[in-house]
Amino acid sequence: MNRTKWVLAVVLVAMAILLAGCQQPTQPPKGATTPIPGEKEPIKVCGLFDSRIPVFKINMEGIKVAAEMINEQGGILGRPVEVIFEDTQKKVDVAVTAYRKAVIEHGCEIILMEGVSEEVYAVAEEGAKLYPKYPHILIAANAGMETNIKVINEYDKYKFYFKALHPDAGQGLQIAYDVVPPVAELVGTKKVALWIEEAAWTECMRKGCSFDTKFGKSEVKSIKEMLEEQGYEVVHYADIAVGEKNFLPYLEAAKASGAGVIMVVSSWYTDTVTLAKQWSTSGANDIQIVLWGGPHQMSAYWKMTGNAALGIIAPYFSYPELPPVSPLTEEFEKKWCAKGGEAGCPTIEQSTHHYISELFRIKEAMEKVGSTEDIDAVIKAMEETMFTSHTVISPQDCYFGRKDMYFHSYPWHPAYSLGQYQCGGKVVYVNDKEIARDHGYSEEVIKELHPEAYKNPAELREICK
Amino acid sequence: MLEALDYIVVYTLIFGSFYLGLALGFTVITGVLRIFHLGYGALFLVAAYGTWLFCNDIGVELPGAIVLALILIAAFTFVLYRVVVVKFIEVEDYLLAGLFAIFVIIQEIVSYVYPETVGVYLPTTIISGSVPVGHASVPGQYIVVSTVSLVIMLVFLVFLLKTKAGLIIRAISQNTTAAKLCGVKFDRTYALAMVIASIPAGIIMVTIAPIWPVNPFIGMELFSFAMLPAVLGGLGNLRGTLIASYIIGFIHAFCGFAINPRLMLLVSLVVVLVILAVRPRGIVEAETVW
Amino acid sequence: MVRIETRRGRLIIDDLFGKRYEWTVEPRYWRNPIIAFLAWLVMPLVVYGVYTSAFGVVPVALLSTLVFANVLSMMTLSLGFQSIGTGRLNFGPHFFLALGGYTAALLNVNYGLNPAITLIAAFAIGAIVGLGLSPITIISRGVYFVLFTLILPLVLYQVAYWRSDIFGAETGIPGVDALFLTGDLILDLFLFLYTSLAIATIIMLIYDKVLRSKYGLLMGAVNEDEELARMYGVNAPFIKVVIFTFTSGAMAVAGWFLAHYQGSFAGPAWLTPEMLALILLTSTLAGKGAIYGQVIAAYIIVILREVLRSTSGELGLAALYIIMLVLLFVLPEGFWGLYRKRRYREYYPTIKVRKREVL
Repeated sequence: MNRTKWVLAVVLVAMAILLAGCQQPTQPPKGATTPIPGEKEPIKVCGLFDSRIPVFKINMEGIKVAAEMINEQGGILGRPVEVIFEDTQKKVDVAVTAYRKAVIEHGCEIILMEGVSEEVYAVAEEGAKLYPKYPHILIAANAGMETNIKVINEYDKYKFYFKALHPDAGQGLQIAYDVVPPVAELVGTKKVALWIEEAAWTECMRKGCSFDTKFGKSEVKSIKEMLEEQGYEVVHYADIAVGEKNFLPYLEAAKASGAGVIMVVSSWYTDTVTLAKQWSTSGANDIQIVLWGGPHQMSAYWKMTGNAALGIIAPYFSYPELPPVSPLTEEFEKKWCAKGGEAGCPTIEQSTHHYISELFRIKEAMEKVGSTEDIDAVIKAMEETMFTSHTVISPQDCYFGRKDMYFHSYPWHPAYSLGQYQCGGKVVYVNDKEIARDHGYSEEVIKELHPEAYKNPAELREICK
Repeated sequence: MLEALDYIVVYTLIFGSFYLGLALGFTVITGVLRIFHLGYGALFLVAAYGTWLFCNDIGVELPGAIVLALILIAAFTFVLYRVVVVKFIEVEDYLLAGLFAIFVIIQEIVSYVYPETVGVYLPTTIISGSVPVGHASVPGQYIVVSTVSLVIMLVFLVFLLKTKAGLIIRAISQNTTAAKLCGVKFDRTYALAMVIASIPAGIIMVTIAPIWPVNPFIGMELFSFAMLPAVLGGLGNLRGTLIASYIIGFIHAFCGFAINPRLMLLVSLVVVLVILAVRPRGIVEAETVW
Repeated sequence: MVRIETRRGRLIIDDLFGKRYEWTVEPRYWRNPIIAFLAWLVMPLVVYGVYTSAFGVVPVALLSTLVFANVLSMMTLSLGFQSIGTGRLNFGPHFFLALGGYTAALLNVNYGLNPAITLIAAFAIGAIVGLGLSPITIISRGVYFVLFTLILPLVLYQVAYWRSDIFGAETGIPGVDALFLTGDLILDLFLFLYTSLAIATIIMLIYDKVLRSKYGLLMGAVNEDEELARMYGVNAPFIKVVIFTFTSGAMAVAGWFLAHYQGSFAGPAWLTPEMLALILLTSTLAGKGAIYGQVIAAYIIVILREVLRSTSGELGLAALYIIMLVLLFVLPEGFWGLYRKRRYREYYPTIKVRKREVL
């Protein structure tokens, strides 16, 4: 065939396709595939994660295990759960593309998405356009308060979105009341150094904030102000640049200030692995350091720091140390640890627990509604039901229906989770038992708390030599 | 005040020496050999993960693993030279794109094989804990890194200024055609120089590992820290690189200990921009090695 | 009965309502740029048609990918044109993209300015900053110029976090008005697609026109040997300043589009080395000085990225860069070189031949 004929053929085929394409596309998902006799059409769950990032990869593994567990229980109202992952490459444009594909092309009714604020903001806007035609539920573990306000103030537009995390404004309260005071008491100090990652999600914690919502005006003070109100002296305050690798000036300044505790508020972007390495070899290594947000919540942190984490206190969520918050905590542990084989339980982090728990919450909501397709009703059920099976949070602390700034997000961080890395990387939970009790944790969980086992870093270095 | 001054002086030396160690190889490759090595960041990854591979996965003792990792860097650089540099030496945009692509590929493969949660850690601490210097205190390992950097600088100077190979490299740098006419084995010398210049990156990475990040995405950041002093100083001039390293070290120490550590990077970037606007060919506008 | 046949380079339709129609389809007489442009124009519709017929769903992912291909085209077109006109390789194109994005988002969200005004503002800010920085194209060269431009996005990245009250740091500036909001998602997507395509086309045509004019020759002279060009009386500094200023404005337009397309703009998401790598490699693979090639390369690379994203999992990016590396080896003149090679002995003239004749 000569070139002219090739070109003609291509033009003719293109025209034919164009003509075919001019037909109104058939409405996709529901019933598009022929159901296998005896088996109902699966409920599609899409996970939007960048699999190159270890923590997101763990999230993906966790979601797969959760889906397996649900399917073993007979699925949701008889419909099996099918999980489809789309790579976001941690880029806004790719995440939006992946989201559109998930909702329109895959027909996913449930979307679980990585907690990267800039992506979630863009995706939430896109979701508002998609929802009327393609009802679905979006769950992301991002901290930004912005999305909370959208759901509260423009409920009909953004009701499909749930935040499987504590919003930033709330995190400030938690740090100021549940984290610093008990640790300061263990150390026996009133002098605190406070370092906060300088990012949008920490703005409220750094400067305080107020916002008007349909539920009224909310005002949250900065962490520093809240600590000072409780009688603590913030002897050193610093904003940390995102991605900072050089912590020595901060550490030396904290030492010079006479601080007894260094409270570090950061996300995964701040390198707390390097912070641990530099802290352990600096002149400030006798000061108790407390981390919030980052890889320290995983058992892998100990190895990542080359054991430099000795003495660090941080929220910790890995098996087998994790206390049995709900029956699902243990059920999931069996499955999860079996994956690790002889190597033991694979490392896991907080957001993975949130994603797997949310799948079970949706299952419960759908079963309550009696339908997997009436998404509006499912959303209502998720708001109204006190979910009791979260793997790491008490029912009151993961309730989505509070009529305040926590609406559609977790009201509180687990109040039992402060672990101290001790000899050999063994983690001991050192939380205040009363605070945990107040937050509705069972006595089984309280039993796992051992504030009396706390040791200061210098002591630990001596003991663990 | 005195305390702050101690910190500024000590950390200017510490940070400056560290940046010098990172920049030495880059300044030689880019300035003397005139190859803009956009793949330089990959060398840090090859060093760190090569050592881990030999030590943890193959079971070689740490010193042996480090030596093998440095050999791996040499081999990697040689292959890079033969396959990419030789091919694209006359086509600069392709050379840049090729070297950059290789860097990204190495980064992605390392991230796949050794995700951060594997916990790659190099126990190369020589002085543990902190060492008091005047009113200040410094992590002992930083002193090791600084010493190693200065030793490498000295070795480079001796090599480039006092040896025949160094003379040939300088000759090629000054005038390639004339050097060829004088009978210089151009290809071999180039390859040798590039390999030698890539080793310091590996040595610094291995030495700094106990107090710096070791993760698959650290290459780009270390590359930036290597490029800043090398370009600011005037490419190919070791004296310029030395001065520029300590200027950046001073900015970081001054901002970190006297103003606001949050501004360390931002101020150093702005200062480099301003200096480059005023002196567009770096601080030492010389075509010589020293 | 109607007969359709091709004979001696002609398309013949015989006996159509009793008449005979003949068209000459001999390729040497074709206006290839027009055909290519038409193909570019219908491509989204073809993709839409094929996909919906084959799978019964709208290919939103692919269409979104094409939108990004247009955005990348805006960047690579400007970078390629800038490289020709200034003889410098800019390592901070994404800095200008972010400038445009921030300008549009800030003006729209804080002052309620509509997208038409923010477009002008984004271009103006990009161009003004470009003008302010343009002396560097005169005084700096080589790696020094590269480092200078490389630092710009790093500084903006730091500033975006440092002044998170203005720039919104990692979350950026949400709530930017969308260019199109018809209520029909697919229609919106097509509107965005064709708007971005139109912008890329305008940019391409402007650059093409300039390159074909005598200024194109002057740019080529500056690119080839600046000193020599100045000896011949070419006002090289003027050319470089004008080119750098205009292309900076054009890059800012890409940012403007992204802000009004995504409804938010977060600089840190774009001021990354990955974005630089994507722009640089795409521009290089386009082929030297090939303006049309920039669009072709952007489309191929972005579609390749989407395919690999969907198929190669964690190694998707590694695979993309491996392919790009291989392409560097097998395409010495980039994607455009493939076309040029095939057209070498044909009648259709090249830019240089024509201009040489004119002179």
